Amino acid sequence: MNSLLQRSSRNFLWQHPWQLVLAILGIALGVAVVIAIDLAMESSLNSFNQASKVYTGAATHRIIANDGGLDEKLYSQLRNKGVSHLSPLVTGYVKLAQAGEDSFKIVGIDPFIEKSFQSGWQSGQKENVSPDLFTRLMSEPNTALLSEKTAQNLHIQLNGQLSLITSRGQQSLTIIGFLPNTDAVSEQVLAKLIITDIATAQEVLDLFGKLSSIEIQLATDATKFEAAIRSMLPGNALLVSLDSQEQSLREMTQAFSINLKALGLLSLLVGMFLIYNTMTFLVMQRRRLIGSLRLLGVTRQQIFTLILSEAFLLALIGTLSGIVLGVLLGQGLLQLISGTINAIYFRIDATPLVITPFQLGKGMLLGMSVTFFAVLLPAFEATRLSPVKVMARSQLESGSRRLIKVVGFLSGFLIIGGLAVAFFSGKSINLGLASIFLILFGFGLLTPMLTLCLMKLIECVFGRFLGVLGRLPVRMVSAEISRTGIAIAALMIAVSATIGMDLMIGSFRQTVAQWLHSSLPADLYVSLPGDKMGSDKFLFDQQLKDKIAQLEGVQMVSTALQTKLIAAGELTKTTVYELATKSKQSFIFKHSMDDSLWDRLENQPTIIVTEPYAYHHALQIGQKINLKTNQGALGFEVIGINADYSGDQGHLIMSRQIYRRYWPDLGYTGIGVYARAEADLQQLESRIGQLLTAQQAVKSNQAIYKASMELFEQTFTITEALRWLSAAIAFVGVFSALMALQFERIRQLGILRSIGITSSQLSVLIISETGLMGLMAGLLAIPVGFIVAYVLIFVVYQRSFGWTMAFYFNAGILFQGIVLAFIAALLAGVFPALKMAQTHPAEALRTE
Amino acid sequence: MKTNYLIAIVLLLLGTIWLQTFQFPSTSNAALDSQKHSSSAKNNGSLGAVLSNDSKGFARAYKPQAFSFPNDHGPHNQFRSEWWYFTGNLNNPQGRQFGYELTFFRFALKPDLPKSKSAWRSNQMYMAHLTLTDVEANRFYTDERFSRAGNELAGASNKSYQVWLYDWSAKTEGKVDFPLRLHANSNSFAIDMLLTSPKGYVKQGDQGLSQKSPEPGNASYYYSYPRLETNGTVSVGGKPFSVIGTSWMDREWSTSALSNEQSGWDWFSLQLSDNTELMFYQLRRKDGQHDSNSSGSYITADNSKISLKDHDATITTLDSWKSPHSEITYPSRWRLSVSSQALELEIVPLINDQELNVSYRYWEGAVKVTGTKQGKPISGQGYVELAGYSQ
Repeated sequence: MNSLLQRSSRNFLWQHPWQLVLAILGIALGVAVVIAIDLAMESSLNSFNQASKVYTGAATHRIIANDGGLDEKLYSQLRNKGVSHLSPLVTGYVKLAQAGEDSFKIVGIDPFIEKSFQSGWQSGQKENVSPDLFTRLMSEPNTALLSEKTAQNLHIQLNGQLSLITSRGQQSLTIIGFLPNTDAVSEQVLAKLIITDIATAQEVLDLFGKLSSIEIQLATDATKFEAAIRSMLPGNALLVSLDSQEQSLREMTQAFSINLKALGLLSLLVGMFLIYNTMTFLVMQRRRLIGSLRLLGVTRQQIFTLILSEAFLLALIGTLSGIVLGVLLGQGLLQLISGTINAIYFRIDATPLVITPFQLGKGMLLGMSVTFFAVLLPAFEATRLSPVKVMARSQLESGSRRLIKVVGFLSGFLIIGGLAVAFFSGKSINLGLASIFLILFGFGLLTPMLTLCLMKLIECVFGRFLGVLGRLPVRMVSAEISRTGIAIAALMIAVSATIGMDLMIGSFRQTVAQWLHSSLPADLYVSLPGDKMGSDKFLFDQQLKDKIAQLEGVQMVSTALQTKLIAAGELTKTTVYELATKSKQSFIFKHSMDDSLWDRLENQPTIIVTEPYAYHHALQIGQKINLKTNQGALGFEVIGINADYSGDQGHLIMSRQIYRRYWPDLGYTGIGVYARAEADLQQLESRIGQLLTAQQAVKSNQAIYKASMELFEQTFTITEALRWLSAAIAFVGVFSALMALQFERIRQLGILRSIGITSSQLSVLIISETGLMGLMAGLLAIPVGFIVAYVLIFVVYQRSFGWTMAFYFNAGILFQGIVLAFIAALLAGVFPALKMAQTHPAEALRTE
Repeated sequence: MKTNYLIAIVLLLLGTIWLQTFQFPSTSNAALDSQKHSSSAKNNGSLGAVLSNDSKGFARAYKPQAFSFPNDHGPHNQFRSEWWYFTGNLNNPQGRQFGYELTFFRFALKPDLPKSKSAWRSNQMYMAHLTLTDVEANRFYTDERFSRAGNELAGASNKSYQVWLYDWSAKTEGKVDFPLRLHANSNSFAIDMLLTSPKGYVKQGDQGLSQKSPEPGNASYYYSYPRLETNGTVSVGGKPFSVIGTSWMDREWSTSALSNEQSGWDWFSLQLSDNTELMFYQLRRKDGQHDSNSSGSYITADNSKISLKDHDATITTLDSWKSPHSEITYPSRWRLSVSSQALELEIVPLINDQELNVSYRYWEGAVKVTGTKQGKPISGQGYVELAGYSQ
């Protein structure tokens, strides 16, 4: 009996290849997006970890300092006081003289530290990484190790030269050996790495007297030892465990990651609809067959198992192809994600895609369980009714109509619940996103009811003018609400999510643009990159500033130094300003203030914090933040909170006068130039340009505005890409649902043909039905999209990034949403319409 | 005395610093091989390329020079290698016996220091060895470390006696040299001792010039403090023992290397109960023949030195011991006769297993001495070093 059932199932499935393919595609795409996001995100974070393993090895802790760097004497003090298992590092970035190459990371190491670190460069078992290599590295200036692959790519042979461009000009290193790479992953990690002796690194990077960090290998239970080390550290240094550092990197990117994963989940949910739809179709199509089987004595149990095993097979194929697709897609997303992390969070040097069985297993589980979940309803549907009732469709529809009313109440409950979750869930990003899902789902459930109402309305209003053929599509939508309702709901969800996100991004863009306009008050900006540790940098910077100030046409100058200070035990971005009168107006405060604020900022230990910083640290005006100064810890009062969209972690703002009281002068990273009204800006720009070195640059405020907006667009590339991906899945879903619906009705349409309706009339009928559904979905998506945008802007994004932004309405987006839904539905009708038009009525009647 | 072979050690040590322990059984051969390369000036791309290429640019010891202190306690960076070598026998009040070795080695990787603003730029490399022999527990502890001389991580001073590598140090508590504080600790053991010198130093060889082979310049500058009163603390597993005893210090610097035919040496430094000391090193040749470059000295109670040539002393091996770690068989009991002094001594290691399984493997252990001098019983203690043994 079982084999007979299986054969009937197999034969049936083979006869509907399109449905099969679409169902598998649905699962595969949903799983692929989820896996791709997961892989790309994890790989980006992992690569950060893995790359550092090459030079930190088994270190457990790290001593870091603010941008002034660690004094190298600290290392010898620790060593000479008996602290062992230390590894000093000097790191920095250089560009290759060869054009078109990215920047490389130079890591200066001490080759003679404890072997127990087992750093990548230490564990070389290749013959060319021999002991003498380390003595050469130390004793011969300008020698370096490079990965063999990179050397090949750059056509550098052993003892060949690698030309670099550093802040001191062009310099060349002799490659005396190759870094060992144990597998493909570490090879990629090594690709942009140059290992040198610490002396060479200091010379190349011009970081004399300084260390970037000291890595420490501590035993697992060494809290006493940790405390002892802490007591030996100067004011600007911090001992952190690598675990906690990794943790904080993860936390930093958490909001970003959660939002991406939510997008992935959206794709999966839309994919789930696709599976549901296909399985329902496959069950519906077989109502007669199932009824007959039941009459022949097949039990409910067997039918249920049959449906589930079909679903299992589909899920398996879909999930497996989804995993393959996900890995491919992940490769593409990796660039986007690591690009974004690079741009707004921290530097990632190389990102190989790391695939772990755990992640694949997760995707597998997700794909399989979503399929089972989606198929449960149709499976119950197929077995619920008695054999006789199963034979009649009308039974199902009248059942559905009762259900729709119940669901209507439920949906109201979900929507209100969703809104409640959105506004009363504190700071949780997850709950904020969950509320969006609840709201979307709630409206989705409400859709069939609304559809019925609207169809009735259309019929009442337009029915008189349109005649039978006009009323038919409207009636068809209502009559098969169990199918059409769900298709409209799915389309509505996808379109409203798109509208919501579009509105949100648009509002965000507008907010950032306005903020940028007001925060770039100077006419020209000079950027002064290069290392901030160079001991004499501030002298050169000072001279440059004076020279610029004396140029003809310059009214005033302001300066900024972007640095990092240790605030509340964490390295925190800080901007140190020397403000000109005009630049004070560029601050947008989130509260009322008066001019005494500037006075206090200049003369008292006070700071302004940016809005994200205040949000993440729950800070209010008047509270104090503990900063580690070079003379010990000191509380700085928060006297202002200002709008800032330059990063989601936020930063501190301090006056130069106060900064210099407590920290060493590191020069400037930027000089703002205010021109006199009559000055020729282009001329001034070129005159300033003549004062600058190759590493420095002068840009107009428009150029900076443009570059900033480009960066903004870049960070949203990934969001845009994913949104389109889920829209594409939704499209496939709706397409397949509508097509299935039409094919299911072949007989019905055949009857219509045989009672005299022409094939072109039939085409119009079909297309207008699907078009009507699309329109319905589009119309409903507008208010829902608005609500989604609202929750995204005022709940999710504020919680994720600490930004408040204004809501900007854009009618174009709404229009776009409706058109999207309408066209998707219309297109889905074209294929069945064409096919029906070609089918002979008798044949259509025979199909069943 | 160790001078000739010191160079070989240098080569060996550096050549094997980063090799795995299991590779060591063959290292004594490797040492000689690298020596061979160095003498034939072949650059084979190994460590020899850095260190043993040739001694061009380095200073060499051609003729005796007056030592002046504290200057000569400090580093002689223009010579290729140098060491500050401490060994000693100690007892706690209950008679528990300990032996220790603390040695600082300096190697010049290049003759010149490149000009740089970086404090890490250095051509000088330091290595240190620390051992402790716990006779009662029959345990031998070892540790080693390395560092460049840059950034005050390691170095030696010529202003007053001070040599250090991280927190291991030998540092005077006086103005020039003594009293001298030795301080070094490892995870499981530590020493902290104060050394005084009632007897003073002797210049080894010809007024401090210790010739290794007939070739001029193939020599080292070498002086010893053969009897240093010692008291302090040794710790084993966190448990301190206050101890007193006698130490021996050797200072030696040179550029020259071992000859091709030599395979290793047995070195004896013995402190006898009549306030005299004996130092003798016997060179071994690869062909098993007697090496005529062996030599030593006998230091009388009034600190005058009697030089010993190779034929002045006879050493007979009475027993052997096979290391369970390296499978190397070492001699483990000797009879040493110095006919000119009518000295007949039997030398026995306090424990057999005093093999240093560090980057360069050798045996260096505390020994007990019994015997006769001019027919009268005499006793003593000391250290023996066995280098260049292989399986």
